[in-house]
Amino acid sequence: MRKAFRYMTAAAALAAIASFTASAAGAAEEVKIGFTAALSGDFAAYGENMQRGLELAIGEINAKSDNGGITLAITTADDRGLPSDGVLIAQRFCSDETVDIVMGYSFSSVALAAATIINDCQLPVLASAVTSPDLAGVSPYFRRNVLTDAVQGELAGTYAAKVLGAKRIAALNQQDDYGIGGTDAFVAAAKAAGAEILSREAYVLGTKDFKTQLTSIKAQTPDLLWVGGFYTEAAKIAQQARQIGLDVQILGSDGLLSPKLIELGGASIDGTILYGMFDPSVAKPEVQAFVKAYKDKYGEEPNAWAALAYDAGYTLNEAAKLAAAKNGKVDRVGLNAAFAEIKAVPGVTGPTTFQENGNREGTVVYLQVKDGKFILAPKQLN
Amino acid sequence: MDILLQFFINALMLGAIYALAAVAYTLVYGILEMINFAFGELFMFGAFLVVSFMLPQVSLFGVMVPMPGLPFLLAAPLAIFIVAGMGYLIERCAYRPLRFAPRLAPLITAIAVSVALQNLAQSVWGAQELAYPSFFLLEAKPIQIGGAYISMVEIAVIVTAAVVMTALHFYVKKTRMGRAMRAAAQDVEAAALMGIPVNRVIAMAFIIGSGLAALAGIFYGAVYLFAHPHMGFMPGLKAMVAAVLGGIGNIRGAMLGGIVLGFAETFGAAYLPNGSAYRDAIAFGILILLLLFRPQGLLGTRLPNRLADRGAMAFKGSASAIDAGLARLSAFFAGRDLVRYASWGILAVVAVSVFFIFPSPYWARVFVFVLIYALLASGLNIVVGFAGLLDLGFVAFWAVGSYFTSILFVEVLAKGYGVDVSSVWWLFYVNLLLGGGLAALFGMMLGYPTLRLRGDYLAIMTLGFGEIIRLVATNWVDLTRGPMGIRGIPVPSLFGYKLGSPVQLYLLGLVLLALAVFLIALMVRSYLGRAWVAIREDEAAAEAMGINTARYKLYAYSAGGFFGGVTGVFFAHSQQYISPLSFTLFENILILMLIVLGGMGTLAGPIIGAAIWVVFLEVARDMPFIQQHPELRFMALGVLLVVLMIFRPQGLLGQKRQPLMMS
Amino acid sequence: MPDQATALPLDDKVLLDVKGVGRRFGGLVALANLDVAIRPGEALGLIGPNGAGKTTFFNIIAGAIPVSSGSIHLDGEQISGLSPDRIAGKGIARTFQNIRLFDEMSVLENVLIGRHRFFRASLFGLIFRTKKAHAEENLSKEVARQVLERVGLADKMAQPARSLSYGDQRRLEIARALALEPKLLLLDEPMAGMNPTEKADLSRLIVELNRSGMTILLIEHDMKAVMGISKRVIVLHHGEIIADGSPDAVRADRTVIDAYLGRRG
Ligand SMILES: Nc1ncnc2c1ncn2[C@@H]1O[C@H](COP(=O)(O)OP(=O)(O)OP(=O)(O)O)[C@@H](O)[C@H]1O
Ligand SMILES: [Mg+2]
Repeated sequence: MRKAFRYMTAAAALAAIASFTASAAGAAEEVKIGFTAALSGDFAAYGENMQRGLELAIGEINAKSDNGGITLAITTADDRGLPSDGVLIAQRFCSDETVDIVMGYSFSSVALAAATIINDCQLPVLASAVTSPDLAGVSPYFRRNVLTDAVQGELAGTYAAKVLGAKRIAALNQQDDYGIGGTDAFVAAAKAAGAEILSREAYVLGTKDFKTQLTSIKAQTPDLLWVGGFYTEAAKIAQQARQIGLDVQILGSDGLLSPKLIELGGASIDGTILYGMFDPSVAKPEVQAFVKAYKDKYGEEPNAWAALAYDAGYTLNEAAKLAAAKNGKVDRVGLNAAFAEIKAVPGVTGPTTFQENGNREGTVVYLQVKDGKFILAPKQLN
Repeated sequence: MDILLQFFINALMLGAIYALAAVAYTLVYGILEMINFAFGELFMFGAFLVVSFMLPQVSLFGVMVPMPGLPFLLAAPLAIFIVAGMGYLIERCAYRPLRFAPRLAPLITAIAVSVALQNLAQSVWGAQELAYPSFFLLEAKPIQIGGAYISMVEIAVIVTAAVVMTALHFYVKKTRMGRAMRAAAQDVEAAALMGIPVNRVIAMAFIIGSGLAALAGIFYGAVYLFAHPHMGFMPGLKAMVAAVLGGIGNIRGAMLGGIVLGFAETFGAAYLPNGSAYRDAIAFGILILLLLFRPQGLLGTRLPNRLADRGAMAFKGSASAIDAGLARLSAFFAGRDLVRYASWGILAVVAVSVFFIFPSPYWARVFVFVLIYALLASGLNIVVGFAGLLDLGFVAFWAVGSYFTSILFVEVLAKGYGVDVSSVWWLFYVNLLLGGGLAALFGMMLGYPTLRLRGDYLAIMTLGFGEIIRLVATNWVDLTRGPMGIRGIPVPSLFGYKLGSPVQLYLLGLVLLALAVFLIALMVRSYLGRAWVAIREDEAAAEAMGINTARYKLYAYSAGGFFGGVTGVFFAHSQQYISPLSFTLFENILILMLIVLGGMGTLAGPIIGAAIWVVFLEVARDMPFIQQHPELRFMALGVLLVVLMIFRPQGLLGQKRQPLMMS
Repeated sequence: MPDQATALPLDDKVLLDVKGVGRRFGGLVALANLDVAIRPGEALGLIGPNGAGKTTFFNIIAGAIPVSSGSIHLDGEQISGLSPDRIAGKGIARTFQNIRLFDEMSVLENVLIGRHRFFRASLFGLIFRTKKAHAEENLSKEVARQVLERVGLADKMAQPARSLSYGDQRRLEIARALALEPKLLLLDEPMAGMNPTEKADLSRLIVELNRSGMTILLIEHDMKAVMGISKRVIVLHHGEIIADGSPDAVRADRTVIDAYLGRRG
């Protein structure tokens, strides 16, 4: 405790030397995050993953001795996955002058409902799991560090046809903006690259039984099964496919990227290929450190939601430092301007840079489940 | 052929699970004529307990706890045993005190228990799915029949279900307890007179039913390899549908119903256009058709006995210490006039605080939601509180209003014809009426097939209707933009002056709520309201006094629907975005609970309930404990509701009786 | 079949004409082929041992349960097969053996439910509180007050029905039925559970009502009361009419005595 204090005073002194303006305010600048996601109800798990990732990042950042006087604080609000709660929470964060930025969002619809309010009070948003194309350019204050489902799907479609050489593809998609958007793009790209789409069917998030769809798919003899959805359903799809003797290569979207996929899917999930912005196969040291820290803290391995929220925390930190250095303080408008300027902030999901419309630049890596682990898929899209 | 055989196997397995759970519903219904919604949650506890016992360690309340790592064959009976005990306790504590209460009370209590258990499970096991540990049945190789496969678990499910249900059949036929159960199912009153220990029989029905639900849940988990706090909800509803399908109260009917439902769902999902997206709607569609054409079910003979006399069913329970304690508590609560004064106090505080919210857009926004929920609750209160019809499909009216105005403004006018929506600002006000009217029409449509049904059948039917509307909104993407929702709905405006700020919306909403309450008061304080309340109090007597109950029920549905629709229009424009996520069954249950919280069948009750709950939700956000466990709020509400139903059925604030005459 | 008593002169008017009405519950024959004709202005007593089918007979007339066979006519118009509310609308009002009031409603409101068939105001009328709507509400309130006066509950008008004593609840049920201005009033054991003074009061009321021209069908176990009110008594046993005639004749009837004794023994 005392030691930390000493470091902090030292850091403040250093900052004072570095910049006259930054010294007074920068020394004790607390950046408050308004975190919102679905934390109760059917789909609380995804929100919880994000919360954990973000809180881990905040803990690490606040433990740093040389963070330009910036500390991060968090206040949490459960939106239950309801757009109406999204509106309320947006207003709450807007009215709470101490909140500098909104993070989280497990569902695009909640973010969409909140967008107008947040725009009106000029509160920056850095979301980390919402992929709807409708959110692109929705407000100059809205950003996300996840690729849109359209970009992801297109890459995946090309990958399926060109790299994996799939000729006959059956597609399953989650019936929501994420699943539909990604699969639309996937199907278009795969067709353009010469593959045939045998069938495409939707399922509702939370579906347990896929045997009927899979039985029909089996009769079509596909050579690839695309799953545009989340890990919970993908695990069931893989298991039930094996149960009915459907032995087909599965290719999944980044919603599959979770250790829970392997835990829930067991042996059936082996061989599944998926993509994501985060490669937990621990090739890079920073990823390794993240995975270890997360495991130590929460007793489970991180997934894509957690990784993106974790990176969002660090991205915010960079922007806050930049804003503090420029204006001597961190406020909403300054922070927003800083987000537009920061470039290639390193993270476990790769470097973060934002485009004009709030989308993130970046690409995906292809992973494969092998013996209960994610490994880098042998074939990548060049 | 292979594909048909595979469908057949899938359907049979699913049907077997539904059948097991359906028997639970039917056993209890047969005797108590009560739908125990909580069986869905006991089903879930079955799966969670088995998984927990089989694992070497489990995270409980976020803390890793070592577990015995029992083999499946030990873990399963243990889990069933515990769940059966839970079922007994629930019956003893939550349902027995309400056995002679008006019909709605135990039904609402069952829903509240279900909500509490669901959220309790989330607190205990977390929101993540828990993977099913592997055991011998899962490791065994599936059997191949031609091109079709059947796994060992599936065989075990089908065989066990068959054995258990045969055993149950003999138990009910041959044993003393079984015969007592059948006698009680025939006529509880007569059975009590003949010296059958009715309380023990009912307890036994709950124990067996809960055990069966747990077994079904254990199998369901083993087939789909997971456990999750919300896993029991849908299967529970489906099992209930299966029980009704077979003829509720009839054990063989429940088995048949389960199997039929398994087949209908599997083949419907496979062969209907877009079948798998509408899969859950299949069960509810069948239910509605069934109730229209054969309400007694496939094997049932029992039709709703409309002259059945609630008041006369007066057999006495044993006067145990618990009963005495409950009675004393009950008297304590009933005697408090304090609470009534407090209600005025709270109303006054709310009224005054309104002046403080103007500076804070946030609190203004919160109160906009108070108003929206108050409007919804007031509309639902016409149906539930005044006419006494349990409606679990009310959110559909809300959705109809919302979608009507959103599609008209955004999809048709703005996108279709390129109209500048601010030039047609008046259309919002017209739409309030049209949306309300459209929803009222839906109310009639929903009401019509339900007219012949009694409280509990009605509840499932309306529930089915609500779910179908939500699934249509989710899956009919061309019309509703599906889960993407409709965006860019203009805020209300007046002669081009935008009423978009939270305070302006609040004032607009306040006008709407005042109008709504005024209109409802005018309706209630006339022969219309008297007819509704008479139907609620005693349908047969109301009929004997010349009230066309069918017609007045329809009026209640459409009046409630109207206000639901109006709220929908206001909601869509105040939020500027709508998606199907807003119109869930859980929201419906919540609105219902708010009415009970404030006081059913009063004008102020729904408003007070909405104010307390929405404000509490917001205030609770600041509690660190709640930030970590947001689901506890809903668990608390569930528990509070059960306590209220037992000790203070007139609602938290004990409203005065609503006068029903013109003044 | 004791048909000599029911055989009426051809030109005599019949208010309620029950022809060959039967009702079965599964295997149980609750009513077997009943023929009853009730003349306008009559006060007819209906007696019989427990389970004889008396209440079932009321339920059948009121339309609460359908007939298995036969038909019922009111003023020459067939009413069997109609719903209970339609039958009530034609002027048949009833009370219930086990009191069925609207517990949460006030005494006055309970009686106003009996007035239901006289209300005509449209939704528009209700919402704008038109003169007409007010007028009919006021008229009905006035009638309700008079009826309550008549049964002696005028001072308890504002109380909730459930708070009344047992005797008062019985009286309220009758008041509610009277508010309907029935041509035919069906009373199912209205004196059950009353003390002798209450019974006497009620007997007087029923006689008065009958004198003022109301046709009454009365089920009552208290023989003395029945004999005092009715000039004609029908005895039901196992769903069949075993006697029909003047109170004295019925009292002396051997089959009736056997039926009651047999039941007791
Ligand atoms: N809804 C019903 N379902 C089955 N049986 C019935 C029903 N209603 C009446 N019964 C039976 O029909 C017979 C006649 O019953 P009812 O109530 O008409 O008798 P009652 O003459 O009114 O007797 P009490 O003097 O006890 O009131 C009884 O055996 C009764 O059990
Ligand atoms: Mg009787």
